Amino acid sequence: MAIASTERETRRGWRAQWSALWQRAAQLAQPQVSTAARERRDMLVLLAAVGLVVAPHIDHLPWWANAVLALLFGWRTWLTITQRPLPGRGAMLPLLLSAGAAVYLEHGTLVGRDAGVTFLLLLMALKLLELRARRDVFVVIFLAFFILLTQFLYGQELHIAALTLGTVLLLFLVLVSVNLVERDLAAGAKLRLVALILLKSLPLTAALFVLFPRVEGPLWGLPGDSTAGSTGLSNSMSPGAISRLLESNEIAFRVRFDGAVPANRRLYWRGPVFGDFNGRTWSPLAQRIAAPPPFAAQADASTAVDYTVTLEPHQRDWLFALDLPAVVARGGEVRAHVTSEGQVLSAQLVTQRIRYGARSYTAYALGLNESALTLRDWLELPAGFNPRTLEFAQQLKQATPGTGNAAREQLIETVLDHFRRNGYRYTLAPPRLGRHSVDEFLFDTRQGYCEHYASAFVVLMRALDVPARVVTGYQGGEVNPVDGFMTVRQSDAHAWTEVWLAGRGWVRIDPTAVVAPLRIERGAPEIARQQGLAPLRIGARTIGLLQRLRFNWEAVQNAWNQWVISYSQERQRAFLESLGLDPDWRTLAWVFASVVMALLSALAYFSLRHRVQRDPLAELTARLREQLHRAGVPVTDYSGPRDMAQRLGSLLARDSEAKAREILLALERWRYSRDSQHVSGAQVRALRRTIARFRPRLAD
Amino acid sequence: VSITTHPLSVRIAGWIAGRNGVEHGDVLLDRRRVYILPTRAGVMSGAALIVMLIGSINYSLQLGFLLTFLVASMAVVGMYHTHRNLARLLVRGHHVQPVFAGDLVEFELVVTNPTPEARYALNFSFMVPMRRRQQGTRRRERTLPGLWVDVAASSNATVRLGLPTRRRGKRACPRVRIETRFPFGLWNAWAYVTPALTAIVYPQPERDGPPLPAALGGEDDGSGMATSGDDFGGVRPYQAGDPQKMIAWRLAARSDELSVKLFESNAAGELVFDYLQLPSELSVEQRLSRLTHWVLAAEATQLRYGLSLPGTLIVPGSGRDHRERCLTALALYRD
Repeated sequence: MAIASTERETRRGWRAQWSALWQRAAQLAQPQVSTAARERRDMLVLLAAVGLVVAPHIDHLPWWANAVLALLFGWRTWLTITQRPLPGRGAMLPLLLSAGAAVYLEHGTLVGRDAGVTFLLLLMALKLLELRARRDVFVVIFLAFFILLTQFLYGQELHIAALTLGTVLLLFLVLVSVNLVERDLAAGAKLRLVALILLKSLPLTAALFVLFPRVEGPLWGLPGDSTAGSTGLSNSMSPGAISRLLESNEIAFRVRFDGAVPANRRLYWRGPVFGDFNGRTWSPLAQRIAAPPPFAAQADASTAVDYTVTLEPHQRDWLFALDLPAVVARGGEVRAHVTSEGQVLSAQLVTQRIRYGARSYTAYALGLNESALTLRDWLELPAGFNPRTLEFAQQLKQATPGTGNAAREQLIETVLDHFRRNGYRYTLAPPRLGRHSVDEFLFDTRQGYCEHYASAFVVLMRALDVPARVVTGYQGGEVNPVDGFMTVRQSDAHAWTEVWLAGRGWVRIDPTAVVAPLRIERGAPEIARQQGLAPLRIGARTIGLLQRLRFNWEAVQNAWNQWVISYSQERQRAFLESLGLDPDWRTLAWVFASVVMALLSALAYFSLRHRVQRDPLAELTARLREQLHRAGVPVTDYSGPRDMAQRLGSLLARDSEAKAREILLALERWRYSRDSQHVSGAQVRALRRTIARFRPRLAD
Repeated sequence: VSITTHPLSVRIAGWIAGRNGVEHGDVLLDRRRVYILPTRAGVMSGAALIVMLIGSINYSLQLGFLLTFLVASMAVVGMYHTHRNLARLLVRGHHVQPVFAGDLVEFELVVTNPTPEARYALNFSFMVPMRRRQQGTRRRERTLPGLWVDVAASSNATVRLGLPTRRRGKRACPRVRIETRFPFGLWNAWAYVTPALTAIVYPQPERDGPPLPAALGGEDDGSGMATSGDDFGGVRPYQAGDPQKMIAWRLAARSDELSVKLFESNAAGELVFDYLQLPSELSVEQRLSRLTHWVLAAEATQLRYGLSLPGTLIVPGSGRDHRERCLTALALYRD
């Protein structure tokens, strides 16, 4: 019994010793490097990278989320710098749950764009506080990559891409740091390595991007908020609606003309047409008295203009086209039709940048097929508004009797003349108007922007029994000399009018042109500049260098938009066609597979081929050996210079022997002399030539 | 079970390279010997990339496509870098010191990098058979914690891998697994080498064992000791404490220094430790353990000693080589 227990004890003792031994083996295996400082530095780099991931989102996060993120980051950074332990696991679960709850309270969901991004960011920040194993670093980094992707939901501009590229580099840098174990590399060396890998991966990236088959439309419904708030024309017009756009330097669309660019005064980009007026706000005709006639226009073929528009997403269904569009969406990427009002409507909301070709005629007759019944829609005026305007119209009517075209043209001229003569001013900062907005503008303030003139003119016309309507859109545009694209901005937004005349159809009248001819000749920004009201494009048109820089920058941005952001199924097809390939999916699959395989093989070839350090002297020795062997000198495969010299004996003719000994001596001297490392390439080449010319002859 | 240590992949790997045997000399980790598979993180990142791709398709995010493809391409290029970080290394079993059972035997490998590129974060580890308790998991080998090594360009490094020993005898170097995840940790490249190294593990010396069975010049007490005659064995310089009768006076007359006559039997009792004369209640291992203890004790006191094992007789001697010979004989006794 006693013996058994001692045996057990010794076994236990042995086991303890055994495990101690294993621990020693494990210690031997562990890196003997002090890692605290390194870990701290890697952590700070990771925090910086994650900060770059968060930064673009600050704008569209709720304030509390920004505060919480800042707090968590600050906390984590402080813990890192002071080398304090991370909070326990017990603290993380409540934090995670409350983050989820807060997001849910804010957005009512966890999955939409804004809610999802907020939640992911909080998740990543919390994960940072729980960074224990290397696995956790991977989790954070791949969360970061995913969040990088979500920022493109808010914008895909060039600078965002550049920032993303920098962030990707930094994230991979962290991965390299984490995977270096024994010895750390200098930051520069790590960066070079990551940059090298990035460079090597560019061809593959480009091939995948260009050739990966694009599918049209979403795979499933987009969350409602995936595309929110963008500036642009709205589907109603009240005083101040358009002038507020003047402050926006944002691009509405870009145009590439196939032929010459029409004169500025012809550049009316037709948008929504308004017929309903409630005394203050213009909106599209809601209820019609009679069904509108089909779109019909006669055009002067010599004024045809072909062009392609790249429209920025504006979350509406209308497209912009030069007045008057005849054919829209030649490409087939966009489905659209022209309404009886000459407005182009797309089948879908424009939620992403789209491109469409169009043909317009700048001289045309629209709506000759309108009947008296259909025209009544364009004569309605709200009761109880603008009594002074109605009274003024009555006076004009009495002065110009008749209802024919001549009388109407006379009336139009009179009204325009009224604007011209009575001290009306075109201003970008008009005074506020009350209930009778047209009355106040026409008789009191006499200052207004294009929407005031258009509104007042249409009201007057209708009061004079002339069918009239407001047309909104853009006027003008700026051609970038660098790439030839015309840029139309929100600040080019404009409102004008159309009146219907028998035999001429809808005729465009732009009362603003009467008051401010410059606006139409040169564009809105010119006026803004003169009035000192254009904060964003100040003087850009007149300062040469700045202008050139701006044009160049915008051309780069446009190229980015055209070739990267707007890359689509359509573009992919066009690309294949330009290569002379059939643009169907089978060809695409073929090209995709073969290009990717070819690139992978090339990568494999260059990566797996190890540079073998060649020894030029050994090569030369081998060559000479070969020469001597052929001449009949009994050299062996392993003969060195000295051995060869011995075997020469007196087999060779005298001059051959002298030459051979000279070469052998040179080889030996270079191999064994102290400065053998400094044999220059030229010397090696000279010796190689000598050996090549050497023809050993045996002694007679 | 990660896929790289899955028994099937291990077996296939062994089968392909036919390398279950010991490999002598420099073993080149050529392309055929280096295997590569994604790590768990690599698989996870692949899944993340697929999610990113689906997101890009759904939202028509062209920049999303670009980001996804860039990260994916960098991961793919990273695969080649991981492979390149391991391939073309030369690994050779260099040296191993004998140890006592219960101690750590350290196999020394030399890894040579003949290329002009540095190699980073190479992990060397032993593959050892599964312990009995874990054999239910169907894996036949497990990896011991490894050693991390960097090898600079065109240079070499020494790797010392420790392995605990339990039993005396020969211990062949187990299969060594060399792997790397550098640079991104998304791919794992590995290769196996079985270096031609065999360690001799001496028996564990008996702890608190009985003292040496021989007193200086003592007579046979029947406990495995023997004395021999007193042959003249030479002189050595006098040291304080040497008995006067040992001084070589005749030699002293001719030189300035005192010398001491050495007789084998005087310098130390000559001992022969006899296996068969040990108490019969001791087991084989206990006997070897005791003999080991005596060999060490005798060597420490600079005695001349010999060893008599059934079938082996080592004539008395001393010094490091002699000690090693004795210990090796004990280690390999009926092994």
